[in-house]
Amino acid sequence: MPTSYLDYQYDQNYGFLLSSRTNTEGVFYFRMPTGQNNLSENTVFTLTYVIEAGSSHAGTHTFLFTYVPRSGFDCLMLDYLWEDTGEVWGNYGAEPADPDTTRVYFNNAVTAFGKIQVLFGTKKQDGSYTWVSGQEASDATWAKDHRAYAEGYESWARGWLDMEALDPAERVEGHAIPNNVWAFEGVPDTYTHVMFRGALNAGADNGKGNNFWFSPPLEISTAYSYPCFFGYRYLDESSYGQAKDDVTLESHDHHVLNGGWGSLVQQYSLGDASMDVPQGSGFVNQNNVYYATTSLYDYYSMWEQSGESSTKNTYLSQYDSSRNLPNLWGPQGLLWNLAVSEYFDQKDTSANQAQPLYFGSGGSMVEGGWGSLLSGGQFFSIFPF
Amino acid sequence: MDLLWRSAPVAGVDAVFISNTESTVVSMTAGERGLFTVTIPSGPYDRVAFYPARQADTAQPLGGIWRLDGQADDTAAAVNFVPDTLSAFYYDSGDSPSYWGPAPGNDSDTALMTLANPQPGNPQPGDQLYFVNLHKLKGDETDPIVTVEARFIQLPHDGTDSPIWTNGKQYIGRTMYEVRDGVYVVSFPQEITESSSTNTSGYLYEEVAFNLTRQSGYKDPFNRHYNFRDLKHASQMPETWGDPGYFGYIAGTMDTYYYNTDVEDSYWNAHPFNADASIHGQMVYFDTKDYGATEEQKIGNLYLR
Repeated sequence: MPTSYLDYQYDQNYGFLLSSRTNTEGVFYFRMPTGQNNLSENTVFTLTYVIEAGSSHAGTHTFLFTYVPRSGFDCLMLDYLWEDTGEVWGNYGAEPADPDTTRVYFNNAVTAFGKIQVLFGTKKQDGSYTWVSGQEASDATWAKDHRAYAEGYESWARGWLDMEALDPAERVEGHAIPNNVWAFEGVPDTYTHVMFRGALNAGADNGKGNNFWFSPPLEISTAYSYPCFFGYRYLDESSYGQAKDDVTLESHDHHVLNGGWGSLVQQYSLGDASMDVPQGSGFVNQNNVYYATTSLYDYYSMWEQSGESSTKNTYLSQYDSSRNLPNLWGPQGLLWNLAVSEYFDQKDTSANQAQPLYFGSGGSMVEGGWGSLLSGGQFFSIFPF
Repeated sequence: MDLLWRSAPVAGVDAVFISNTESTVVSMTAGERGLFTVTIPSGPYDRVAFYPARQADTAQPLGGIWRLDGQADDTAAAVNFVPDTLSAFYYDSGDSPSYWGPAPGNDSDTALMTLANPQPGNPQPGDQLYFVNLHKLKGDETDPIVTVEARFIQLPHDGTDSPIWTNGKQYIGRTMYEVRDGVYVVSFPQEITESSSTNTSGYLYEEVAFNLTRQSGYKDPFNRHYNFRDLKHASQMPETWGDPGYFGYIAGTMDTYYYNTDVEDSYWNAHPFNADASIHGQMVYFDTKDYGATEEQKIGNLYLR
C-alpha cells in the first residue's frame, strides 16, 4: 500500500483518512490505487476506526481484512462486525430495509411552521396528478392515524396528513438529526409524488387554505435514503388570482413553499458528501459513473462585499401590510440566496445550459438546496469544498 | 501431504503399491510444505500404503493401508481414488485422523467446483474449506499458530465441553493443510452428506469450528461455531459466544474463514487466489451505519492502510 494517493491525508500511524463518501449516508469508498504497487487478494489491509467519545466503546479500534471481490461482496458492513455473526461483507447499494414503503422528511428550520402536512399522490401519463382523497386516507391503515381533520374527513377531496416533528434526541442510521425536522414514514412506495403545506400557527384551521403555504407537486426524491425537503416560504405574486397548477386548487393566497430535496442526515455536509474524482495517472473512467466538468462561481452580494455579515437581518417583507405578513426573509444572506435561486429557476435549464449546484450552508444561509445532480446512480463530483 | 510438516515433519516417505501377487516400493519425491509425490507404477496394484523412508519392512504404515478401488477388505480401508480429484493422502501424525482429499492449492479446480455446486450452504465431499490467519499474512503474529483443526460438527450437540470434546462422536476433526503461509485448507469429509430426520436442513452435519494451537502450546478458546448451511438459530451454545454464527458455504466464493484477533472480528468470505490476483482500481465500500446494538456507537474517522 502506498503512503501517498490522490488528495488523501495520510496518518503515519493509521494510514489514509477515508474522506470519500458515496451518496448514501454513512457509506465511504476507497478505490484501490493502480500503478506501481503490489496490491492483491493477499494484501492485508488494516482499517482503523474511531468510536467517538460518549459511546460505550469509545476509542480506537482496528480490523484486518483482505479484499477478495470474487465473493460478490464489496462493502464492509461495520455493524455486522459489531453483531459478531462472522458475516461482515455486504453489497453497496443493497435494498433499503423496507423496500415496500417510503418516507419523506421536511426540514422546518427556515420555514418555522407550527403545522406541516403532506398529500401523497401519483403522476399520470398526461402530466396531471392523482392525489389521495380524504376517503382513501380514512380507509388506509398507513394513513388513517395521521388524518389532518378530526371529523368529516372522508368527505374531503384531498387526504392531507399530519407530519410529526422528530425528536432531536432520535438517531437515524446512527446519525444525529437536526432540530426541527418533521417526518412521515411508512408510505406505500406506489406513491411517487407529494405536496407539502405548512401553517405558522399549530392550531391553524385545516379547512382554510389561506392559512397555509403550499408546495407545488414534487416527485419524492430517490437520490437519498432519507429524502428531506428543505423549504422556504415565498410570496408568488404571479399566482395571485391565477390557476397555475394543482396548487391553486386550494386557495393558498399566493403563499408558496419552495425548496429542494436533500438528505435528512447530511444537510450540514453536502459538500463533503460529493465524491472526489481521482486524479493523476492510472485513473480509468467507468461506464456507469457520470463525470461532470463545471465552473464554480461563488457569489457575493454587494452587501457582503461591503464587509457586512450575510447573517444580519436586512429585510422585512412589507408586501402587503394589510395581510399582516410575517418576516419572510430575515437574514440578508438568505435573501441573496433566494434571489440567485429564483434567477436560475427562470433560466433555460435544458442541456448545456447553466445549472448551478446549490449547497446552501448550515449556518447563516438558507439550508439545503438542490441535489438533483446527485440523483441517478453513482456520481463523482468535483469540488474541493 | 504431511499435515504436521511445520511442527513434526516426516523425514521421508516410501509408497508401497500392493496387489494380491506382488508389491513394489517407490520412494516419494519430497516437495515443499510436506508434499510428497509419486507416479503410480504399472502393474496390477489395487492398494497403497505409506511408510517412513526405508522402513517399509519394519515400521507401521503411516495412516493405514488403502484400497484404491473403493472396496474395503480385511486388510485395507477404501478410497475411491480419482486422479486430480481424490488423489492426495493427508497424513496426520497427531490426534486427528488422516484422510483423503483433492490436492490442495489448485484454485482452478475450486472454480470448477463452484460452477458445479452453486447452491449456498450445500457443500459436497471434497469441497475445500479455507482458513486464513490474517496476522500471519500481515507478518505481525506474536505467538504463531502452528496447527489449525477444522471440526465438522453434528446437530444436535451438547455444549458442555466444547471445544474440548473428546468423545469424537459429535464432530469430525481434521487438521488443515497449510498450503501457503497463513493459508490453510481442508476438504469436507464424505460424512457431510449423511442425512438427519430431525434437523431442519435434512443433514446431520451443519456446523464448523476451528481448534487452534499456537507455538507456545496455547490453544485459542475457540468454541465459536458457524452453521455452514446458512441456518440461523439452528442450535445454541450455552454460554460464552451465544448463538452460533452462520454462512452459506459456496466453494470458491464463500469458503474461507478469515481469522483476525479473535472470533469477534473474524469473518467469512472468498479465499484469496494463489495467483495473487491484482485488485488495482477495485472499489471497496465501508458502511458505518447502525454501528452498535441497543446503544449506538458513533463512528468518527476511518483510516486505511
